[in-house]
Amino acid sequence: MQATETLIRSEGVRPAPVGLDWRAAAGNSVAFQVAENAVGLFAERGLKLALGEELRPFAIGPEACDIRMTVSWTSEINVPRGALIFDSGGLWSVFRENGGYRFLFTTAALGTSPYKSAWLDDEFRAGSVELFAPYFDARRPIYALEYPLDELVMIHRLARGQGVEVHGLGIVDADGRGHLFVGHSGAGKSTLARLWQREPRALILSDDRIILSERGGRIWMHGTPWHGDAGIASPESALLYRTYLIEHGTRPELAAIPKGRAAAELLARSFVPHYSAEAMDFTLGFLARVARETPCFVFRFLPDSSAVEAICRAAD
Amino acid sequence: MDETRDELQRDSAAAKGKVYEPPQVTRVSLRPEEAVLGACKTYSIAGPASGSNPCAYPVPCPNPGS
Repeated sequence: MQATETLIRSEGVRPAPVGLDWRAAAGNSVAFQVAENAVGLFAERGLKLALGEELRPFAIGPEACDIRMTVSWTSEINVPRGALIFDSGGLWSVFRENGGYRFLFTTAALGTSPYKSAWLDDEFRAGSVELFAPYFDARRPIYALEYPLDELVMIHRLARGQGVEVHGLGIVDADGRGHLFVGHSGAGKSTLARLWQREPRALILSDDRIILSERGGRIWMHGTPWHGDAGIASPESALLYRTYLIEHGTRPELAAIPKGRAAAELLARSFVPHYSAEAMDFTLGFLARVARETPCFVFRFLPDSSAVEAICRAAD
Repeated sequence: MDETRDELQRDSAAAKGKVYEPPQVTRVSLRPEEAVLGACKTYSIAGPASGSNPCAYPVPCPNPGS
């Protein structure tokens, strides 16, 4: 145990990639990196790109990207001829097309016609985005991967053997240990994040979305740009130490849960391409491994300093 | 041979000590609308909506489905 803790202290926190001034990134290409996946966008002439505000701490140079996508205007988005494989019931649906995946985006505010379309290859390494020109203001810089496309690209890429995005708050404590608090909306992630903000030596990776991945035989947790109500997002990473399923309670309480249940609870708070058997197969195996290798607890808490104290006390 | 017999006896004793626990089904809470990244939590809209709704696109959504 002591040896493990020492290792975590020495190796457990990795700095963010070297950042780039987001103003310099605005233009015909922009790029960002999340959980070691570098995503680059390259626009056609006359289309000015920018990164969304929450992406700016994650900005990198566009030279060496793992995922490359072109962006262009279109005056027509047709329903793909390939098979519909999933309809989210909300903003997006996805079809099989040309050996890859075609995503269509619609919103009730604009009617039934898609405002955006994206195609990605089977490995989610290359693709294109088409913006329906009449709906956009061409004079303003555009973030072409606006929610939910950026997260969709990421969860599909992760499901190809890398890891999984979970609905959670990630905290790195003063000793470099990564604590993951998972919960649905309203469970208390942002409330807990604000409590941890009072701890000067704690680092918050995100108050809503954390990516888990395997590297060097260990499970890492990564900050993402996709924050919650507390608005906290950091591009740093840390080794995962413990996982907590959070619930509001009448007093701070930690109860260990069996590994099988831990894996199931994590899956229910994960973002996965549910329509893909291969993706689900990988994700189930990955989460089973997370549950096997890191202790998982139900954590009931009050929204005051006792919540942070309980976690720190249990970790020591 | 004796070692094998000893192992079998130990296994048998261990098996006798175990209490059978039937498999249990545990229901896990899932929220489909959150799990599929299908909706905006704040306004239930996204994209280049303008004018009559509160979405400020292309400024990114401040609360993307959290």
